[in-house]
Amino acid sequence: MKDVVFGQIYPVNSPVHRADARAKFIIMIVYIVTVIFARSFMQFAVIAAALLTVVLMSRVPPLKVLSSLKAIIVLAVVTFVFTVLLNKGAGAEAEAFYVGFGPFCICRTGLMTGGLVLCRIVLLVLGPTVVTLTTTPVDMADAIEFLLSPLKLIKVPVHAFGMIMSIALRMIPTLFEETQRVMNAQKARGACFDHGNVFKRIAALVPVLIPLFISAFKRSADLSDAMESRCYNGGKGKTRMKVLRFRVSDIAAMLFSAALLFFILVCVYNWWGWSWVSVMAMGAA
Amino acid sequence: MRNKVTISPAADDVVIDIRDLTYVYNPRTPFETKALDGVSLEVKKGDFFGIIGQTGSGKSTLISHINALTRIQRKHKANAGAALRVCGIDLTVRKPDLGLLRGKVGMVFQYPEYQLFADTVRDDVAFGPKNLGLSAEEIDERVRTAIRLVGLDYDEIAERSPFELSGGQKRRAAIAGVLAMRPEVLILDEPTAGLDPEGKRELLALFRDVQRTTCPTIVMVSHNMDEVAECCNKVAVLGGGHILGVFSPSELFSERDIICSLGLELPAAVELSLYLSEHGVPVRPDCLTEEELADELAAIYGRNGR
Repeated sequence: MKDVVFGQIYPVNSPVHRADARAKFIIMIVYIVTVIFARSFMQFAVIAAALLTVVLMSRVPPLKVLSSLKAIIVLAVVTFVFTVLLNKGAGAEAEAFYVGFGPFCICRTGLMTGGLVLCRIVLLVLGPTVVTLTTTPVDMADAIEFLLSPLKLIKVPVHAFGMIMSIALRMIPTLFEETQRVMNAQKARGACFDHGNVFKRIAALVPVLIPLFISAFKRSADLSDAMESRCYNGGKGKTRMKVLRFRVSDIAAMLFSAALLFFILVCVYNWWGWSWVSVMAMGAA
Repeated sequence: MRNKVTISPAADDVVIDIRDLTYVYNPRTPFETKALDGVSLEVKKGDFFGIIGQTGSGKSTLISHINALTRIQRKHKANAGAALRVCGIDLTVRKPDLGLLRGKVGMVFQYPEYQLFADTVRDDVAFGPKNLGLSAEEIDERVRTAIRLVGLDYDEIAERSPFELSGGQKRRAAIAGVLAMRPEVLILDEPTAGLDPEGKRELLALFRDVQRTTCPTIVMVSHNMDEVAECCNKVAVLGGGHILGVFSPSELFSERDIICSLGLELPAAVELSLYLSEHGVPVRPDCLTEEELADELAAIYGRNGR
């Protein structure tokens, strides 16, 4: 079980977990574009509803998804406060609600804009969180390799990038375990890692880092031997053990995300002058 | 609610006293696993105490509790009645004196040679005593003694880089680093893993030496039944986070079922003597070591022996 602790993946079996990582990645990009285009509370509500559906399907506890917001709470609050304080809207006379003090003011437009920015930041964080919670790092690396593959045309070594990424991801838990082991061994010899000033602490890490580097070099030499003895020669002609295949559901999901993007674009630009679009503009700043 | 277990003060010669200890990995997550489940154990001064069990039976978790690398989960409700006392230090309190404890309990990890880091063997062996805050003369004296104790030549090796040594020498140097702290209890986690038979024999002889001279109590985790039969006077069998029993080696190897259910093998000498006695050779079926069996056979056939 130790192998999977790395990354955020929440290991349950669900349609979202089983979906093709490339599809999830593409949907994530479309989703981000959608969130950036949306500009009213009504539109954000539609996007949030779509996201909520995905979360419920993934069987990841919604609270677990929300807890990712802890990381950006400062950013979100600061952005909100400054947007509100600095946005003067149409000026003191035209606003329905206006409290000014010094160079700052709190007005209706400002509050609305701040709220929209907040919605945007929150949705921007939650979407990718759902992807990382439902995709293993290795699948993710494969997906990125696939999506970068057009760059092969201009001679970018995409396969090498993918391989490096997969190996790095694979080695993180191993190195982590190794660090723990060496730290424990040195602690057992009376080493102390949480005492003294910065310099003392850095010096205390030397007995950990040296054995760690030695074993990492040894491991990488072993790994390259193992790869070479299996005739690895870069990406040429290499087949995959886990072949990524788009299924009908993956394509349907991608189409759905594209539809959502189109819907939001229509709401924002209203190219054909439909009257119902005004409903979707409710709550715009 | 479970009943609070009253804890009677441990007798003087009990060095390690573990009662009703539970440990859960990744509590309240889908990965939650119980590594230890109500484990009780008593190691007395002078014991060479063996711990055997399959991988994942909780051996490592158990021994890392002994020198507080793994702290007891005080908040876990199953630990309400737990006791954990090592060398007279109570480890169930919030902040036990870890410095003191680590000076008293030496731990040799699996593949200890991976902890070597210093430029010279002397510096590496001195790392532990230095952390104990000893004087320079005291450190120097301890380093010399420890290096000699593990059977290395101080003058030849002290100034060399530990990474130039051979595999067996590296391991000895690393063990010297632990012994230089002069622990009262020595914990060994599969100390002979990856060594050739000759190296194994020498290392075990070394540990018996250590027990006689500097460190009276030794706890050894092992997979190798021959080792256990040869060295230990008591053996605890661990399985699925429980102690399945504490035996003397001769008791243990008569409990064939337990050994087999753990996927372990009987010592070669026991296996052979059982086989011989089943096939009509009048040897005791409970010879534990090669030596005992050889003596037994010599006595029967009376040629080379007494």
